[in-house]
Amino acid sequence: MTTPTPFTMAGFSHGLTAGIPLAAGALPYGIAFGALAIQQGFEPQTAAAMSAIVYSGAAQFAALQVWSEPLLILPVLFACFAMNARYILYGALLRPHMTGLKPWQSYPSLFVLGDANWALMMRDGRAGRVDGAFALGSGLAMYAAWLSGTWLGSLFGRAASDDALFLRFLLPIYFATLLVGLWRGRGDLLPLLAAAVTAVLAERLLGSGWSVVCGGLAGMLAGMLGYRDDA
Amino acid sequence: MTPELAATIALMGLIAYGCRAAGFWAMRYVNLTPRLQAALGAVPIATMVAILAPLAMTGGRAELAALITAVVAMKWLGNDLAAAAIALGVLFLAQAAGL
Repeated sequence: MTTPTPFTMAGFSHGLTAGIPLAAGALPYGIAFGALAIQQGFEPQTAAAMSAIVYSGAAQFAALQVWSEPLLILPVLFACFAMNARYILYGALLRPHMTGLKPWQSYPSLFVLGDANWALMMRDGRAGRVDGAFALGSGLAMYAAWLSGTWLGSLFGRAASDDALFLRFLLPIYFATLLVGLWRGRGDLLPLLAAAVTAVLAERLLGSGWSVVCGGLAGMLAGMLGYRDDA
Repeated sequence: MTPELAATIALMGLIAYGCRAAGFWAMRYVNLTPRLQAALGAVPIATMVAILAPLAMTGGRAELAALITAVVAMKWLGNDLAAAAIALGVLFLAQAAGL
């Protein structure tokens, strides 16, 4: 934990390679966002600017949903926070796997952090073979896909979105395969169940942004309860 | 783009990046006790499940079959790309079969 994390060119290109399937999953989401944004009356460059600056799929879809004429800024910003609150937790967990990195190495990497490459960092960090530049490489691959998807979707609109719909399930499928790598043993069962139940309840009661936050916190609490001092 | 729209997008970006950076920054000042480590250690699998559980509840049977296939194939093959490809195939077939 005290040894500094490396930040190498090899880690960066490893991240780029690992990011290709993630990018393939992010592209159809980007197309769907671009198409939807055009239907909401966005200009293509506005949709692209939002994808480039915000880079948060869930937040951008939620923003479109609460978008109105005239624009009410506060609901949009609140939706953006709700959809991104889980990243506070993600960032905190990333810290032990990015020790001793310069701020110019870690903080730009955080800009392109997503669910998928964060989970990969967690998995590799546990195995003790983590490279700080991996997050940047895999993140940039997904960022490029998200941006080009938005652009394609805003050009071709509805038709492209319908074709892409099938591939939108690629990211959830990828998350399911990640479960296997993240599983540490029977001690994870209680956090897993707590998270699943809490997330489903929170989705129904509070909406989709909070389900991941509440599920993550429930898992955290369950992990703490399962902790034994002598173990 | 109106100034109002530009400002909204800029603020959204600030919030999104703020969330990504805030937790990372705050951990500079937190002492990681073993108990806290145990609590945080459960978060990765918990959040992945928290993303998937609502999807599995609201999605159709084809989506559920694809998610289960992904986990089982990953356990057997140990290769995430192959497992994802098989699961995507199951999704395609199940949807084509009208499940």
